[in-house]
Amino acid sequence: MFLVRDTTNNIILLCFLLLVSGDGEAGAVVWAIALPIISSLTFIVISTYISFHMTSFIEKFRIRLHPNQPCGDPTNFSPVSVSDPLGALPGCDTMASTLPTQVSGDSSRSIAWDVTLIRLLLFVAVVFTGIAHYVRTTFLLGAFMAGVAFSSVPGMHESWSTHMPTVATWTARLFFASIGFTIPVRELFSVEALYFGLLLTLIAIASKVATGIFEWDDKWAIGWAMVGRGELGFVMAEEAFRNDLTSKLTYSVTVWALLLATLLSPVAFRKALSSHHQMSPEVVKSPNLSKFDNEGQVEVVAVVDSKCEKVL
Amino acid sequence: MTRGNLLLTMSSVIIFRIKLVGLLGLLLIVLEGGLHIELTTMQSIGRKAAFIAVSGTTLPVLLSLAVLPRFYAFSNLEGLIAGVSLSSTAIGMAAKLMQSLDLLRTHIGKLITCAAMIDDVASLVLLAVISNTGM
Repeated sequence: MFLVRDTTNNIILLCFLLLVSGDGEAGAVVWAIALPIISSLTFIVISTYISFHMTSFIEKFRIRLHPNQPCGDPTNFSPVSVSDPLGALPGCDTMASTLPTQVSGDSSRSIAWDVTLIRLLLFVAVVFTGIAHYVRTTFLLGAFMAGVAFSSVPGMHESWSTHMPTVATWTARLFFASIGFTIPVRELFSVEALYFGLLLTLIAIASKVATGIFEWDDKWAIGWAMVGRGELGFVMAEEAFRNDLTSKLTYSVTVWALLLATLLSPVAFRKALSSHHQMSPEVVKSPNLSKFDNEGQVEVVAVVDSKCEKVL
Repeated sequence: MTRGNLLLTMSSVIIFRIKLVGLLGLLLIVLEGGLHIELTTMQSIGRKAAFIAVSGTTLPVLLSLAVLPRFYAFSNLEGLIAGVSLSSTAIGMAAKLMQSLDLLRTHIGKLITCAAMIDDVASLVLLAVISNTGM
């Protein structure tokens, strides 16, 4: 209890000092670093809080929008609680669930609900993105937090994988293409860029593999899994290059490091996994001999890996 | 306007529009990344994953800042920015590999996915700081 009070006192004092030192050049730099951190953390905390309450909010929303939904039908993405076996949630139509379900009517209602979920998600994403930009943190954090807010809503993942993959895939390809437009290709294949690129790749790999020390048994697997770099690295490098903060050489070197690290990560990760977890399953023979078919194959009852965790 | 100038203008406008759609694509990628967070898993395994993620975010920056500016071609700022660019983690391929091997529900699978998600958030905060101070 006292620890919490001391910590909060320290945080309040720190904020006060930051505010007071806000004028003057040193204060401006401190504030420029501190403000995004503070607003990002606040955003994260608020979004996590929202995500815990999102499911109940969505439920009320669903009842208001789709009042004639039959109850307890899993294809309608309606969560049926354990204490409610008949699925008689308020607002759902108990009579409709006893009628013979018309395929088109039912499916159109279920399609409408997951489209509604996607619309809600995108609306919240736009709102969060805007808010994030105006509180001086990056708009991507807003998008991420919108995803977090909807992460535990039932049926969200299914709705996303039903409706969004085409759009997401193609716009993602355009994103990587737009990054590729900015890369100085001639500089990319110069000797200096290759040499320093290899050096930076070593740095990139070593710094992530070293994080495996926290899980000593699986250190290589954890370390190599974290080596993979993605879109955020390209975003940061391209933004810095566009604003003339880095030279062409630095940009090329960074691109080499990102590419090589991402290429090497899955190969090494797989090797690290196979050396630690036995990939060949240990087959448990079934005692019932009639399960042998003509080829003499054995029925697999359980498959465990070397750590005795059930894999299949 | 000469014909060459018109072509340049048109291509730059097209590239600009592609970049706009590309920004939308980036938004959707990051949105999907946030959607795959499991807060309940994070409550149980979050502490170790947080250590892995935070060290994985700060270590590239420190290492790059220490090594790169020693060479004539890089300034301190460029070393810092290269480090910051290398600080994020994307486990797309690793996650697919673990899914094919059915390792996602094991301890190591949960640890890796949790660490990657926290690393995503930490990288976004770092991006926010760099964007605010630099640009």
